[in-house]
Order: sequence, then C-alpha cells, then structure tokens
Amino acid sequence: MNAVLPVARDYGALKRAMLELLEEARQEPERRRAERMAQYAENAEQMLAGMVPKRTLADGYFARVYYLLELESVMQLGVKFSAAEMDVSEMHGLAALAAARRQFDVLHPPCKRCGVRLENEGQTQCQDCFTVEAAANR
Amino acid sequence: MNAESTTTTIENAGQGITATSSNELLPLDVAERVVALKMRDGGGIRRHVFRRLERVDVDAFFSATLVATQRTGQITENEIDIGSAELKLYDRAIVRVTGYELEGGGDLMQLPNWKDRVPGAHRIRAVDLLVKVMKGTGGQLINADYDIVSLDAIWTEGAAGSMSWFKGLLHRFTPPTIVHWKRFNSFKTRSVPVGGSRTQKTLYPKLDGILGEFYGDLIQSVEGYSFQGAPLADRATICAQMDRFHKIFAVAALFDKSELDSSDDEEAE
Repeated sequence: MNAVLPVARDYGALKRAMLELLEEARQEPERRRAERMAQYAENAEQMLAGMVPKRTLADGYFARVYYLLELESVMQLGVKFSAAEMDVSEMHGLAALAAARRQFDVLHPPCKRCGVRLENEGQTQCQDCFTVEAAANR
Repeated sequence: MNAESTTTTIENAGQGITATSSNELLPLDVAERVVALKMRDGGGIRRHVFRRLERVDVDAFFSATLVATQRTGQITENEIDIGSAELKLYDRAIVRVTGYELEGGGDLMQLPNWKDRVPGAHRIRAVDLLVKVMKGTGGQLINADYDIVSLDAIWTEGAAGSMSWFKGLLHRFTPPTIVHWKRFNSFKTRSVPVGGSRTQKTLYPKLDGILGEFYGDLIQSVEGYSFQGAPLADRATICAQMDRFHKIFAVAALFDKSELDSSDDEEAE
C-alpha cells in the first residue's frame, strides 16, 4: 500500500488545486450573472447546479493554497524570512503556485484588447471585443 | 473581593446547571474539582469529582480528538469528534462520583467498574463542563503594549449544586510576530488527505502543541487567577501553573480573526 503524502508535500496536487481556484475565479463573473438570472428562472436549481465550481481534491489542498497565497503576498510586501524560518515544503509549494499560474496563462491567455481571460488557448480575443471590433469595421 | 454575585441558568445537553459569577480569583491549584450535574424534574444532583488536570491528560485529550472535513459532491461537512476524547479524559481524571444509586440500594462506587457504569451522557457532560472555557463576553480590551484576551470559564462547584462561573479572566500577551503568524498558519494547513488526494476527506492537525508553545513565548501577565492563595503574578509561575485548556484557548483567541472576516463580509455586501 502506498503511503499517503501529506498535503503540504503533495506539490502536484497543490498545483492542481491552484489551477482549480484560478478556474473558479475566471468563471466567477459568469456564475454571478447566472445567479442573477436564476432568480427569475423556473429551473433555478438546475441552472445554479451547472455553475457550482467543481473541485476535485480534498479541502486540505485548498486551505494550504490559501496559506501559500497569503505567505506569497506577505513576502511581496517586503517581509523577509530567514532560511531557518522557511521550510522546504513552503518553498516547493510557492513554486507549485507559480507553475499553476504559468499553465493557466497557456490554457487561458488574456484577450489582446481587454485582458479578460479567454475560454481556450486557440482564441485571441473575447466575444465582447470581437463584437465591438466587427461593428467598428462595418 | 466582591461578594455580590449573579446567577445564570445554563440549560444545555439535557443537564441543567446553575452558574454563579463573582469577582473571586480562580484557584488553579485546587486539589479536586467538582462538576455538579443537576438532574431535571427534581432528580437531585450528581457530583463528579476530578483530580487536577496535568499536561499529559490534556495531551491525551487532544490526541483523541478528530477534526476533519468531508466533501460529498460540492458540499463540505465538518467532522469534529471530541466525544471519544471527553470519555478518555473522564477515565483518566475522575476520582469519584456521588449521587448515583445502585439497583437494590448501595452506592455506585462499590462496583469495580463504576467508571464504566456512569451513564455516557453524564460523563461527556461532566467533562464538557470541566474544560469549559470561552471567549469573554466583556468585549475587546485595548492596551498600548499587549494583546489582551479575556476568557470566561467554569471551574468547580461553588454553592451546593452551583458551578463557579469565572468571567473576565485576562491574559496579556506580547503581540505575535509575523514569524508566529507564519508558523501557526503553516502548521494549521499541514493536513493529510485520507486515502489520497481525491478522496475528499481531510484530516487536520491538532493545534494544542503549537498553541501551548506560543503561550510560553508570548504571555506576560494574567489577571483573575490564584495559585497557593495569592494572585498569579510572575511569568514563570503562570507558564508552569496555568490550566492548559486556558492556555490553548487564550492563544487560539489571539489568532482568531473570524470577527474580522465577518465584518469584511458585511462591508462587501
């Protein structure tokens, strides 16, 4: 039987948890819009069920990612920790967040006009900007 | 010492108790602590007498607790089991009980397995009261140099059938540093997924060890406690004699930012 890896040292799963959080954040405006629309819809429950973020990992991974994000922001504010105060799991955890962001950039590049995250890597601009550009070119 | 006292009735978990509050000091070194359970419908009082709790008792208590989350679909449920830990603590620290009668007459204490024959609900309720400590109701106190945590706690039976209810027990701490914050949060998130990352169940670490350690690092003074008949004054005695549940709860309150979070939510709405 394989030993279970503690959350803090399961860097592959931490990266995946970060990607899922980034995906949730990307879909947040759409989810809020669906929530508003669902207030007037008969199939409200069905609509909202389709918009619930789909987390595939145990909660402990997300709690650890939140901690690492907080640690990262503290360090970005200029707080310095000595080598003795940092541990290897934090160092690798922060690297896992950075790797997740790089992958997210590839999967969902920003719209070249407004910067909003696109649905997939084949797109170059969002639907709103496409519509505006098409109207301007008419 | 203020002789004036108020009486509050607590109805909880099927056992009515009357708690008395006064400005007396909480005696940390009382040899035995008595938890009085008042039975409903004039059923009398059952007394549970405990010896003083030692660090090993509290360590055993926390090691028997379970804090986990379980996600089913997209719904997360907290799973907190302290019942087993309470039974374990009861078994370790109970000295005797009074008020329980055997079928056919006689005292329950005559049985060699008397601990096991005390109803489980009574054992759990007695330990629940024995370790009862909560954030003080007096509001946030501000000091120029220290972070202050105010606690309320039940300690032992005062007047017949009435539990002593100590309020406004103050713990003054040197404010935690960013390194304390980092250590606490890093430790708190060192959880273990049960059966693997995708099994949706997370076991969380026990925080009593790190919180107890921080208490020793940060405590400066306390108010409301006595040891050997005198107010608890110097740091070394505080560290050595303070009840470990109070230590853990006080430091946990120091790091608790739930009030801050809820005010953020209100602002966001």
